[in-house]
Amino acid sequence: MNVAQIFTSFKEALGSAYLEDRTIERKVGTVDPGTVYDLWITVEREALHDAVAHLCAEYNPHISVISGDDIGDAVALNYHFTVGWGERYGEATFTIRTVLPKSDLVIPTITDVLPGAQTSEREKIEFYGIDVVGIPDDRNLFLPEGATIHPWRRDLEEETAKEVKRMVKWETRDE
Amino acid sequence: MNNQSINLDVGQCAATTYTVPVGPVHPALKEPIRFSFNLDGERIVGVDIKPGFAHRGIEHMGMKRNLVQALYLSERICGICSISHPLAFTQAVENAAGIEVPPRAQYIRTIIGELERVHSHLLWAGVGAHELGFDTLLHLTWNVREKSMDLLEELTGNRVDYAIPIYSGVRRDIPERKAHLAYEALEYYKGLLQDMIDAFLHDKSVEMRTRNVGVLTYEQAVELCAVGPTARASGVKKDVRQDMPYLAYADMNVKAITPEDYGTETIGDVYDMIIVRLLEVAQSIEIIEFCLENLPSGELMSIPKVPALLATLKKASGEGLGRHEAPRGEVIHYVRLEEGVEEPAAWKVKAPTYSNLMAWVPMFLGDEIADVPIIAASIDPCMCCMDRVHLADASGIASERTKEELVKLSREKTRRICG
Amino acid sequence: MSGTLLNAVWQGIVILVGGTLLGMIYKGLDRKLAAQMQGRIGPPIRQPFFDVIKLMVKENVVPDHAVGWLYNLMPLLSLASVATLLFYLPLGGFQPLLGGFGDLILILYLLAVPSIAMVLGGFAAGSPLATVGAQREMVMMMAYEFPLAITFLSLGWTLSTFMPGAHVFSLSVLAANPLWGMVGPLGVIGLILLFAALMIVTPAELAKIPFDIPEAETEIAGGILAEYSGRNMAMFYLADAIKMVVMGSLTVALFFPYGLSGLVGLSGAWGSVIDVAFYLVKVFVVIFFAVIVVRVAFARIKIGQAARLFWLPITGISLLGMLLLTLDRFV
Repeated sequence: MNVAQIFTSFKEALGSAYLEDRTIERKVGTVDPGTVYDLWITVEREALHDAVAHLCAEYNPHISVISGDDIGDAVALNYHFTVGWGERYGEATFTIRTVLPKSDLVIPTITDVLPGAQTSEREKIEFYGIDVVGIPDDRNLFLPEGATIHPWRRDLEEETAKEVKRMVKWETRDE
Repeated sequence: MNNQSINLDVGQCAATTYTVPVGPVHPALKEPIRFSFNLDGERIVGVDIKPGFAHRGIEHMGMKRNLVQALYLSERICGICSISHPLAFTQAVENAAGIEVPPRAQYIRTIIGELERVHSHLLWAGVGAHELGFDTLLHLTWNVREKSMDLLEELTGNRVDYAIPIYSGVRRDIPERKAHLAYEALEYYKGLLQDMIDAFLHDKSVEMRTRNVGVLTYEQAVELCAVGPTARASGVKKDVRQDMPYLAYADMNVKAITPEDYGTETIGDVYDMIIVRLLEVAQSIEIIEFCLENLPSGELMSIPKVPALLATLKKASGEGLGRHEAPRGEVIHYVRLEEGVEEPAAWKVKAPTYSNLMAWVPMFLGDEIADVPIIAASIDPCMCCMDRVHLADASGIASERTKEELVKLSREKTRRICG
Repeated sequence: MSGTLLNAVWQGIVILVGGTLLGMIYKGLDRKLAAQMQGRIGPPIRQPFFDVIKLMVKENVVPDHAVGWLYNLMPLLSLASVATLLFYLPLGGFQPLLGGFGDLILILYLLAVPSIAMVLGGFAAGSPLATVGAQREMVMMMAYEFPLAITFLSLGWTLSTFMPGAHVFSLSVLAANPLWGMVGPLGVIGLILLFAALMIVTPAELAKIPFDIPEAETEIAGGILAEYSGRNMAMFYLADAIKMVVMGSLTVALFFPYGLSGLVGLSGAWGSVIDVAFYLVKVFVVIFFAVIVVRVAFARIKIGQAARLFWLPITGISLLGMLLLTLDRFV
């Protein structure tokens, strides 16, 4: 796997919005060790859609999940892709990281280039209160219909606890 | 009927559709999820899927506990994948903290992981037969499954939640005196495999109900990012054990199994999923045999003392991804560790059903209401894996005395078995 | 005259109670044997009695959306019609109680009544699952009634060619004159085909796997019966049990009406005992092969597949049987 080449192609496609990259090489196997790679890049929010579109155009990715991480005054989103499936040692994880300030939690959808990302994007909408622009279906997926809490936001823990208590009380009320 | 709706196609004749809800509680579903089907007669013209009825807030709870406690929590994400999540989670933490795992521990993890695949696929086959109204096959399959459950109990002390992996290794050895039990079970399955294939794949009524039902094409599987046997039945050669080897899988040549390996054309229907899963049982048996024969000697943990382990983890910082090919597909855990904090700073769990959720829609559309149970079952859904994140206080715990008695009984049995 | 009437009433009560008990015991045997074949232990044979007693004491829930009177009437109609059927069948080698008042054609109609009752009850329940079940039941009726009618018709017609002027559709006449000995080799093949068609129609008529499509537990959660509970459910349960005896007895009367008493040279009371015992065994054998073995060996098929199966192959088989019988008589 030519890691440097992948990074270079992203650098060319994204320009100054490409912030940093990181490669982790790991040895696996006990008898005849092989090498697997975890690739991480960080991009500006504005370039996220371009980055995913570039990835889809060039590398036939599979999206595993989008993980979120509340880091104080911002939410970091990690788009965990895998590229190169289909042959032994052919695959590497490829994570695109972008950081959204809590004052402006808006991100474009990537479902137009990779429809399989919808489940994960809907989860981010409800759990972090992120506005995913252009997603075909933005209803709550895992949370109850109509619930407006964002349980993974550390700054909203009190409100969440209050709302959950109210909902639990409502659910177990006597008819 | 109060929920009947009439849709008028402009310029066409009137088409009447009505909505049939399936779930959250329904005999076809082993776990709660809600499907709302728009039906035209018996044909499905629309489907809305609403998961989330089994939310327990596990990731949130894990981020409030130290890493060793979180590991046991990860085991309780799901009863059937009760080794898959810890395997992915330990790998994620080990990658983040840079902890080495001794070879023997890697092999033992692999053996337990593959045994789980055997019992999970057999469980699925039984459930699938039941959904088809073929209860005979259900009972016979589950009878066969018992052997793998017994073996897991002998090797680990538990039928579910094996508590085998820990960061830096495994907690329990497979001693020489237990190995013959494993070989015995493997011989038992080898002898039965052809019978299983006959019972499922050469049965006319099973074929009638599963051929060309719930079709997921290759393009759809790739586009919707399906994983595991669901994707492989559509011809997508995607298997973490092959693509990005880990643990003992790096020492053997694991191949992603597609219907081609059975010698039939790939259609991507439920029948193909049966093929893939049955062949994977055979593959797992080979892997277990390889692991048992080549089991390296050596230590079980690189950091055997739990306090030392916790101290190491507390000092570590960084982020890591752990992946495992669970029976249902790829499990991936993302973990970020911060220095000086015992808890994981971020933890994200992705279970296979989460990825396969979208794949359900094209599988349902155009099929009949009678196909709903088998299509719903075909991806081997695991709602408790997928729904993890709801903040609710647990209530209704059994009385203290009963609980203590149960704990005592189970401990006694573990001691008895594991000597 | 009043003595005969009283006698008939007593006989009627015996037939009703006996038929119901028999149905429940066969149901118990069905469950036990099916369990054994599936590698399970299974419930005790008297389990159906426990079930009915339990259902009788349970609350009888009527859904809010249901059409109350229709919903409550249908289980009663279903039970009443199958109970009536018992009076028209030669049970245990005896003459049918109401043999003089109805024949095979009436039986054909009465057999359809429980199904119609279930359809109406399903629609009246006002639940989408029950509605789907009721639609399926209608399709099933349309599918299996035709081969069933052909079978009855062929048997009656063939007998009429041997006994012009006799009331050939009367079950007692049909049972007294088994066709196996009268027809030639072609006719025997025809009879076997008709018998096969009836054996395949039996599980459909009884809504057992692979034809339990209107109830399909894993698909539509019991379908027609999804909303029924308590006393109403118990009546459907009893009707199902009795229908099993009815279908078994019908097959026996049409194709195997032979008794043992003549063979062993007994007559009078002991002869009747032997005949009744032999009849019970015959009905059991029919149920064993047409219901128990079939439901253990197959998966549930889909409504479209079932309709195709009955309209094409099974109707074909019964028509071929009819043709062979005709050829046998005229060629």
